[in-house]
Formats: sequence, C-alpha cells, structure tokens
Amino acid sequence: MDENIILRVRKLNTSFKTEDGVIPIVKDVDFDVKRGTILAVVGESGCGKSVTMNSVCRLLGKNAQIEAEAIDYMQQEEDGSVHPVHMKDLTNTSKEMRALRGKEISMIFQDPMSSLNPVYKVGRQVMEALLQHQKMSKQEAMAQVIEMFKKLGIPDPENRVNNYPFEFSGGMKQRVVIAIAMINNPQLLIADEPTTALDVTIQAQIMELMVRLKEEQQKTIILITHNMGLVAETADEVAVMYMGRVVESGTADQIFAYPAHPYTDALMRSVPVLGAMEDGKELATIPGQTPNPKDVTDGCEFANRCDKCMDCCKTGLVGNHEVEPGHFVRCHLFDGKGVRS
Amino acid sequence: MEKKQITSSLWKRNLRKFFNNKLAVLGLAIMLVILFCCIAAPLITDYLPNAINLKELTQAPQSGHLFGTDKQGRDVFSRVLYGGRTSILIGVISSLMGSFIGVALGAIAGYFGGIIDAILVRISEIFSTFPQLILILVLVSIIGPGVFSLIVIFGVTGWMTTFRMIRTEFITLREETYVQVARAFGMSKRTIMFREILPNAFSPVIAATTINVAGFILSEAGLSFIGLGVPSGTPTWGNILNAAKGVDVITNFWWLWLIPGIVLSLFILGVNFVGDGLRDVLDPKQL
Amino acid sequence: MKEVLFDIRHLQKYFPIRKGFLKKHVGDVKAVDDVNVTVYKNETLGIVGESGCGKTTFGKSIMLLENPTGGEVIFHDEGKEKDITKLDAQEQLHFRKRVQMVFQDPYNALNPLKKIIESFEGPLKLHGIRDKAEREEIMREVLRVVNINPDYLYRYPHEFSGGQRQRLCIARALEVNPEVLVCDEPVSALDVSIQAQVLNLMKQIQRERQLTYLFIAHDLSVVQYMSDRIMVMYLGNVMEIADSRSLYDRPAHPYTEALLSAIPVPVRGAKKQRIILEGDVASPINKPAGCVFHTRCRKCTERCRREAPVMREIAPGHQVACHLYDDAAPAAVAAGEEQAE
Repeated sequence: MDENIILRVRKLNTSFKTEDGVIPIVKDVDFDVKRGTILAVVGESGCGKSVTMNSVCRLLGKNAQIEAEAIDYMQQEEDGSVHPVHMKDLTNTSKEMRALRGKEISMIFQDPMSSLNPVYKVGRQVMEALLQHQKMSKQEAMAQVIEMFKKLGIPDPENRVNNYPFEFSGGMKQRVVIAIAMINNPQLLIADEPTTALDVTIQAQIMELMVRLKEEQQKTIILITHNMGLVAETADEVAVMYMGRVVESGTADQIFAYPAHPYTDALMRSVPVLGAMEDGKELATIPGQTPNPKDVTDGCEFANRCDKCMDCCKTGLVGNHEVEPGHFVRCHLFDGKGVRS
Repeated sequence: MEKKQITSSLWKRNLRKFFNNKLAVLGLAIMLVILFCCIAAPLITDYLPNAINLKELTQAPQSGHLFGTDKQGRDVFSRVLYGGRTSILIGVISSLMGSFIGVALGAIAGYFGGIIDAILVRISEIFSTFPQLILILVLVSIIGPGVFSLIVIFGVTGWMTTFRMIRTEFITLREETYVQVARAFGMSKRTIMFREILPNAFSPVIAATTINVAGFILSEAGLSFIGLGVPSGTPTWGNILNAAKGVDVITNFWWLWLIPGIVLSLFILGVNFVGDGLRDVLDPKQL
Repeated sequence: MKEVLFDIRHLQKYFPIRKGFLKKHVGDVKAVDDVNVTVYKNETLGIVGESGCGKTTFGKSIMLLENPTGGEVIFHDEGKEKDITKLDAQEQLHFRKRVQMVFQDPYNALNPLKKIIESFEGPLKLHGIRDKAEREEIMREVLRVVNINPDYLYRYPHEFSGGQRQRLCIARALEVNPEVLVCDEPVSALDVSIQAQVLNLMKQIQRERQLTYLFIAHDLSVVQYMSDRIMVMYLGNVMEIADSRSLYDRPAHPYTEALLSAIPVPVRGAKKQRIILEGDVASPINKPAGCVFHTRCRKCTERCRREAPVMREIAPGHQVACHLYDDAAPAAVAAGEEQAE
C-alpha cells in the first residue's frame, strides 16, 4: 500500500432513517488523502460533504447507517513505522475510536461561536482537550497551551488564556478552536467550512495559518468548503461532490485547468471572478434547484440540470473514468457511450 | 381543484399532525365527552341538581342514581353535570380573559420596548411575586364571592405567563425580515403588530390558554372547597367536593368525593393533553 | 452628465447605548458616521465592507427603516428635491413606492403563515390599488418577471426553495413599481449555483425597468460583478468611492488594497501578493482617534493617529479618505460641483 496515504476510504455509503424512509446521503464515495497535503472537498449545501467526513469520524447520530468497504487510517508511530487502523470496524464510542479522535484526527467546525463553551476560560478549554489524551500536571498542560497560542498567532497568550470566549473576536475564537484541535498534535485535521462565518480579511488570516500548518508541520488537512477561491489558493487535491457522490477528483491543477464534469465546469463559471469579468458578460447559471435527496431517482444525479445531458444519463449508474492520470470523472461524456460535444 | 388542494395544505397538515399524536386525540375525546354531557345535562338526567329528596339520603350508586345521592338526597350525577357547566365556563372565560390581557400588554411591551416595556414588566413582576391566594382573598373581600367575581379575579391574576410569552415572541419577531419588509412598504404599526407578528406569536398562547383552562378549573375547585369561591347554592365541581369535607363523608360515602374527583381529574388531564398536542402542532418554527 | 437621484450628505446613524432602569445614555454605537455619496439614476452603487462596517445600517437609513441621527438625504423625484429625513407621513408613503428593498434572508422575508398572495396583496392595497382584478394582474405580472409560475400565488413560502423565495421577494418589491431597489446581501444566503441565477435576473430586471440599485454585500467579487461604482466602508466611514474598474485596477486606500488581496480568486496560480491585515476591526463604540483604519494599516503614520482624513478626489470620480493623498484637492460634497464622467 502507498506509504504516503494517511486516509483511505472505499465505497462509503451513509443513509439516514427518516419519516420518509431511508434516504441515502453519501453514495459509493472513494478517496485517498496523501500525507502532508490539503484535500479540498467542494460542493454546495446538501451535497454530503460534511456527512462524508462525519461518517469517517463517526460523529453522526443513531439514525445514520454507515457502510463501507474500507475506512483505513494509517497511524504513524514515533519510529516512523506505519500501521493501518481499520476504522470501519470500530464503534462510535469505542476506546480505539476515542483515542483516534483528537489525538490523530481532529475536526474544526464552521461556527467558532458555538464550538466554545461560553462559561469556561479558553485556556481551560484547550487544556482539557490536552489532558483527555495525555497524563501531565496542569502547569505543564497550561505551558503547552500558551505555546500553542503563540504558534497560532494569538497575541499576549499568557494573559489571553484567562479570558472567556466572549472577550475574543470571531477570528481569534476560530484560532482558539484550531488550538483545541491541534493541541494533541494530530496528523489529520478536518476543517468543515472553517472560515464561512468570518470576514474576508480574517478568512485570509486563518487560511494563511492552515497553509502554514501544512508546510511547517507537515499536517494533512481536509478542507470542506463551497468556496472555489479558497480551493484554488490552498488545495493540492480536489474532490467535487454533488448529491452524495464524488463527481470529479484529481489534483487541483488538473481540475482548474480542465474541469471535466459539467457540474464542476458550471460551478466554476457561475461565480464572479474578481477583476476578470468583462463588462456586460453574464455569469453562467445552473438551471433549476438542487434536488431533495429523497427525490433523487435513477441515473446521473445531475442529469436534469445538465446542459450536456444525453439519453443514457437518465438511467443506470455512471462509472468513474480516468481522463488523465489521477483525474477521475463520473460522467458518460468520457466512457464512449455518448459523444462529447 | 388543484388550487384548492394547495391552499388547504397548511391546515390539513396541522390536522394530520394533531391526529398523529395519540395522547392529544385521547385527551380531546375525554374532553369532548365530558363537555357534551355537561352541555346536554337536561337531556341526560331528569334530576335537577338542587332538588332535595329527603327520602333518598346518601344512597350509594345504583340504577336510579348513577353516582348516588348526597346528604340532602340530591342526585350526584346531575350535580356533576350541572356543576361542570359552571366550572368549565369559569375556566374557559377566565383563561380567555387572562390571555387577552396578556396578549394585549405583551404585544405593546414587546413591540414598543423602552420605557413602556420596563413599566409593564415591573407591573407583571409585582403581580407574579404577590401570593395569588392573598390577592384573591383581598379581591373576594372587596367584590364578594360569585361566578362573576371569580372570573374577574382569575383574569386579573392570570395574565402574566401569557404576557411574558407574547413579549418575548414580539421582541424576537419584530426583527424578523418579513416585519422589516412590511415596514419598508410603509404599513402602520397596528397592521404590523396584529397582522404580521401576532399570528406567528400566537401558537404558544393557544396552547397556554388551553392548559390555563385546566388550571383555573382546579383553582375554582380549590377556592370553592375552602369556601371562598362560588356560593354553595350554585353547583360547581369545587362545591360538590366542598360538600365532601369531613371524615365521615370520606370514610363512609366514597361516591360523594371519589366520583366528582375522577371526573374533574379526567377533564383536567384531557385538557392538558390537548394543550400539549396543540403546542407541538402549531409551532411555526417547524414549518 | 448623469442624472442625480440621491444626494447623501453627512449621513449619520448613532445607536444610543442605554443602561439601567432609567435607561441612562452611556455612549453611542456609531454605525454610520458622516457618509457623503451621490447616487446616479440607473446605476448600481455597490457598498462593500466587512461585518460591522455600517453598510446595512446605511441601506436601512436610505430606506427609512432607521431614522438617521444626522445629515440629509436629498431624493430627486420627478423634478422635485426632497430631504427624505424630513418627510411627513403622506410623503413617506409615496417615497416607499419609489424606493424598495430586498433583504438578506429569503427564508424569513415571507411571513410563514401567509400564502404568497396574502403577502403580496397587502402592499398593493396599502398603495391604493383597490380593484381586486387589477391587483391580481399586477401580482401575476411580477411573478412572470422573476420566472415563477403565477399560479404559485396560492402556495405557502415553505413550498419554495431558497432561490425561489429570493425571487419572490424581488417580485414583491417590484409590485409598487419602484425606481430604486436597496439590496442588502441579496445572495449571501443562497447556494453558489443559485447565486448566479439571482444575480443575472437582477441585472436583467435593471435593464428592463431602468432601475437604480444600491447593492450592499460583503463579497467584493459579487459587488464588482453587479456594480458600476463601489463605495468601500470601514467602521461606519467611507474609505473609498470609485467606479468598479478603477477600484480594482488602482485601489487607492490601503484598506481597499488589503480587502482586494484577501479575496480568494478561483483561478489556479493567480495567487498575488497577499496583504494580511493584522488584528481585528476596532469597536464602533470606542472608535480609534484619527483615521479609523490606522490600527490595522501598514502605511500608518503619526498623522493618521491624530487627524481624521477628509475625502479627496484623486481622479475624476475616484474619491479616497486617506492621508496618503493629502496633496489632492478635497472632494466637493455637493453633487453639482462634482465632476461626473
């Protein structure tokens, strides 16, 4: 197996039990994350990007059913040897799973305001995350917290650890959340829309910080986002999701140079590009609405909104095709069934 | 045809949701049966509630007297039905009155805010902190006992919960975008308060009003039991139970207190189930 | 010469902070502080800035949803000039027919308990259309304008998707046939693929109906796509006003520069020199003395800390409030003296 891969997911299927029956949200998702890279999972709300990651970390409620061929995390020991942890065999609350969460894999959520407990000092909240996984005295732990605050660019860390969350601005709060995620030195960081609730200038600060974590500490980051701009600027690899499926994946260079799937292509052309819009030129639009997952029937999920839709798209499964080395597309335009216009 | 289906969808959905709630349906059934029997009392029983029959004192339940007779030979079944009329009337009207005062004041406080709000909140706090029983004693001594004064007393002392509820709802809802839209179109304050905000704030009030009915019926029973409520000449559930004061009644004539007590409890339970069901169904946030 | 529609002079909106039972006045949140700008007929003026910069309060002040604390807003309507802050009730109602607003959150902009027709009829009745058939005709017409089936009038809001709801909101604003639309973040609550639909529709409606837009948004790429001219706000003050091309090509204010560089561009390898702003936005209660931006400005001088800069015109139609341009002539406040292109 490739030594460079830190997380390997094969045929992940997640469905939810609801009043309207069992609704599949994530369908046959495969992906590999390479150690020390940033993988961006891109898609609109409801595409299953967050559910995919919550399935991997087992953070879903009882009404979720997770099935997978493999969810393997490659744990690297201090001597450099690597051994796989088969996460799909672990239960949500098992000891192994809890040992993995926080220590090896950490998550950062969208809203920094609700990720922190308002009644505890921030230093204590970060320290508790540390003490959960490591035995040490409170003084030692606090010293580490202050060290982490320094690394993450929180000014005056010695005093700031004694502040409450409301005394922090949005951007600083998100740094505290990142500090909680990073304090146990995890190898894989899953960031779910980490800057969506923040202003652009603050977003720039936080993204700069994430890229630095990758470059200076060789962390692996999965960035869940809907913002194509962030993807272009930070990602090494990209997976585009639509209605529970990965419709296109490859390196960021490949995807931006040649967006093969009609959805990726339309998505990229539908956002205004700063300074690159000629006067009078209109944005491309994707007709219709994102369908409700329970209404999705046979065929390609994107068929009814696709301007290149062919008859064969309306029924059956669409296979994954390698259009160039490492660049996969789930579309009939590339399997010889239809002719590319 | 198609159009009609769409327009009624909200109502239909609420009804369906309500009927899916088994407890609420059970409560509604109990409530309606008792209510119907009370209203149709003259058709159901030939006895008058106050007709004294000295030949039949303290008879146990039997075919002629379903619930037995009391110490003056009055038919308990008839007294429970006629008494229910007064008790339920007191409960319903007091509750409506309390809600009306609460809604009006709460809407004003919540929409206008500032000084008006501060004053109204203080008044409601004074009313809530003052022990209700003492307030009732004072008011009874001023206007005297009776059905009408009981309703007034309950109304005046029972509006604070609704007030707080409506005020909070108004404070949240007045910032809602659709209220801003109405203001942007230049609609008057009155239209905005009553046409835009109130319907959205109303569902907890409907539920609370229903549950308050039960509360006031209980209060009436309590006050009448200690002799401060409706004069004993008029049968009410409280007065019937009042007659059961005394150890000899409790030990020897169980039907005089157990049966009216069960009817009262069943009705209260039914009302509460319906109230809870309504609260779930009407929550506008669940749309 | 472009026709002036709004002449906004020294507009000011302070929110008093009151404490205690007696509501003692202890300070002010200076949400909008001395804003001067001219809005021309049939143009789109974009208003951009981060959260708390006062852009929404500015929009609401123009809409008279907030009463300005100071300054005047001269509205040129059918040859008459009126200061909208001094209108009587009758004039105000008329003004609301001329100027309408589209709000950020389409999910809450329609009363959830009312059918679309009920939400749409109220404004028409209020503005004097008594005939039922006439009202129905107008409602159907505006729904056609936003590409929504007129028969959907009898549906409830929860039966529509986010994009459709925002189109309904635009339709309702158009009912009274206004001349100006104040759009407060009209697409930020929508999915990426839906944003383009709404933006294009808004552009099309503007062309067809000769509308003037005040387009308020935090996303500079969207603002630039929509606007002819852009006003950059920071902490209640205007930093820069320029036509949208020159704002991008030649940003004059250090804040505009930083804002532009912070926006992620969805083009691979387009990474430019990023200016990371240190720290956070200062509090609008205790604004920094001198230039409000000096606490985060990398070109800050001693003068910036002491003295607030005035608006200066550095090129035709390009105004900036920054001490770097103290040599330029102060910008004329009144519209008549302004050099219009």
